[in-house]
Amino acid sequence: MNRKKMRVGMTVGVFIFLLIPVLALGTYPEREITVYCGSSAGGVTDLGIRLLSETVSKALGQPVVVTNKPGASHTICANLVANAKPDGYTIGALSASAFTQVPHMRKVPYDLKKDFTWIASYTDYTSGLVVRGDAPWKNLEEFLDYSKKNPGKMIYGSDGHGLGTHILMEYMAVKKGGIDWKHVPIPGGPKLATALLGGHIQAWSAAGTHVKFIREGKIRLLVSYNNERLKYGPEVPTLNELGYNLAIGTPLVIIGPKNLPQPILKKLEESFLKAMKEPAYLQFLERVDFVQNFMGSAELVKAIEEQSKGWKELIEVTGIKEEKK
Amino acid sequence: MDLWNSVLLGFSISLEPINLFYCFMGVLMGTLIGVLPGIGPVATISILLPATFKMSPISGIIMLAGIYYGAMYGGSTTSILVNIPGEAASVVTCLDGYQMARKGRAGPALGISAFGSFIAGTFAVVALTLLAPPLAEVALQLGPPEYFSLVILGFTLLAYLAHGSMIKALMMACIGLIMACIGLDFISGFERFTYGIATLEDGIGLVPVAMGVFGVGEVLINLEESIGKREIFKAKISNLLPSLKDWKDSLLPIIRGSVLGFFLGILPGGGAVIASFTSYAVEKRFSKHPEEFGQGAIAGVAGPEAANNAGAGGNFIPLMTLGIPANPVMALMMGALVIHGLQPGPLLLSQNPDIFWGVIVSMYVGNIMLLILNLPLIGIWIRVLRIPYPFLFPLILLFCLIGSYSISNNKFDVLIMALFGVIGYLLRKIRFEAAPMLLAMVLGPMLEDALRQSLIMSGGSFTIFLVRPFSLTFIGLAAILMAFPIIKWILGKKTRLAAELPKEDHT
Repeated sequence: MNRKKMRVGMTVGVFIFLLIPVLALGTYPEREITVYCGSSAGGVTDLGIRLLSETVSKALGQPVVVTNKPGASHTICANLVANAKPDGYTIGALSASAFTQVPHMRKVPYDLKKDFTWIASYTDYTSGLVVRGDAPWKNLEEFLDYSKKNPGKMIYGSDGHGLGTHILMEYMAVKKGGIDWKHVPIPGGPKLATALLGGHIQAWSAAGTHVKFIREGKIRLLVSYNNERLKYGPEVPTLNELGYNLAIGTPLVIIGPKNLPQPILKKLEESFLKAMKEPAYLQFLERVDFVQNFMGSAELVKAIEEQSKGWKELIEVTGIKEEKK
Repeated sequence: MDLWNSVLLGFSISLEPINLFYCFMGVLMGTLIGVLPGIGPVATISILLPATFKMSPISGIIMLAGIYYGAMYGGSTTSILVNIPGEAASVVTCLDGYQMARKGRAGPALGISAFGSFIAGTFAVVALTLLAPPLAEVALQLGPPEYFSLVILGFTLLAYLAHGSMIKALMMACIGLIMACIGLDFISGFERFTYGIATLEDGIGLVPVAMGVFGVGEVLINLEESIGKREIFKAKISNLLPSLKDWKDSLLPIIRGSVLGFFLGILPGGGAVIASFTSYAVEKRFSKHPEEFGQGAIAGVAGPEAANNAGAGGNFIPLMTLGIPANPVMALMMGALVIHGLQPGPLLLSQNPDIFWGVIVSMYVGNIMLLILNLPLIGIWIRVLRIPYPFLFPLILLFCLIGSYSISNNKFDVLIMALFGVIGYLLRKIRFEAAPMLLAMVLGPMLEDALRQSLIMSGGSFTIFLVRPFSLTFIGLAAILMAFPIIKWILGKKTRLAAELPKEDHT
């Protein structure tokens, strides 16, 4: 009798024990959620996710804490998320370049197809090619023609070797049948702006920082790399309008480790997408000149796959790759 | 925007209560760590850098700046009363300041330090206000070749003005340059010396290294040197206000120190430490009674104390107009600006006038706060000096631990900090200065980038450095500086100002 009681008790106990995770799922989140951010404090990646986390935290009733894990082009952050427990309490916010560009150039310790659950994208870089306001080239065609006809004369700058803005320029050169121009890597938008305005480089393949100079009329946009035309240069076409047909972009994404349970994914996806519609967040994007590129999970999976393929092709065609030792 | 409106804009920002508060916190903390041996502005700013992530960039930079020039005030107190430099720029103040205190003239020594610091500090801010805008205009003309030449000139000056052994300074700079090579080379996309460790892709951080060398290392050396044998000047300090004769003896040194300090501060590689040493040497040369130096000459306190404050102000010019940090403290300031998405350089003034003028004008306010903190309230700081080391040192170590982790929440940085703590201690034991190494860590990548960018622009020809007028001027100046000691050596004369200093080594 006594034994039987004990057995029943134990069975019930085991059941309850087994049930805990299931019950917990019902009430997710029960404790604070940590968001690893791929950039250091202060950038758009960081400020954007902080704004969103605040809203999400209010909606979910648990703190959503952003912890910066910067370094190695956001790949450190990606790896941390890849190795986290898929319980929804550790997610990441970082640039998709860590998945769609970097792996084609260097070895990374994760697999973009196997290691992640894609939750949402919360913005995309505004990027494009600019020249000084008093430069003679009025559009991309004229600019490329001049560069082609004057080998070695054109000097353009970008944030660094192997970044999207560099790859795109070299791709345009390949499409033009090869252009002999010089690429000067200068890290940091403001330094590039200084170099362009000071006349040390003649063109700047830019990601973000250029927009305020366009607004001030100091520099001219020749082409926009985004899918939509720039608000402050509505007459300037996009690359795809000019017939390049590229599946590229550099969205900032919110991700979790693989096998994130469906209900948790749903909850996170919904709350973050809802937070992006808040006026405070939209105003923030407006202020930093970033694009409203809000994708949900399914859409993002597709986009990442396409963009990874797109960048891979560009990187191979242009031959930009870290050489094997 | 004309100058007057700019200054008004600066006042409207720096007088906001929140910024006043952070300015006060900065100068208060600066005086505190200036007074305390074992922790200086480099360690403090690196520890507090992560705390500024949460502030507005203006408040953050105002506070960090306050720590720097505040430390210049506080450092002299310890030098005069304990004969231990509170921080590096007050080393020479020990020579005559402590002698004055022994002769019962601690009051006037402290007084003239505070007044000299105030006059020089204010002079530097006025000069900064007038000179920075035109310099920022000119700076736009400077491209990669000019930056390369300018950094070369900076390194030359660093070696020329170093107050210790020139060879040792150059060796430390080389080690710094080598360390700067670690990480992802953004020009070619290659990883260098990373050994497959992902964290190393971004190189070795300046902040953990600074914290280790100047925080942990300093604590270790102090543990060894001064526990139990600290002799604090016990007598009551009176006559803080210097007499008329004191003023007569100090006025010219203060003026000379201000001007000298400011211009040494502007030069890349210069700064408060070099300014104070140079001023001491200059005053000794100018003085009618050079034999009094080292025996308690008030000019030997007034000049260097003015110079280090003016130097601290002058330092902001290359940072704010060129984006070149003159010393490790400015390198940390640059880090603080960059973290907030602001790139110091020629465009800072036009793109972010609020930051630029807010910070500069806050220094007027800060200097007034400091005068009050360091004269009527001097008693507090003397009491602070009596804090037992067994309480103080573990606290510093704790802050270094927390600080190094919170930069990027990475355990690796803590390791780096600890490792460089030991290295910093050893360096002190064998009398190598760490500052050139830190500076080289920051200027190294600038030098390399500028060199390679220039060569890409010129298609591989080195003549690009000689055909551009600014670049040629800088290279020419560097060449003259390098040739100078050789010519003098041939003529058999004393060359470096450092030769004027007593051999005794406090650092």
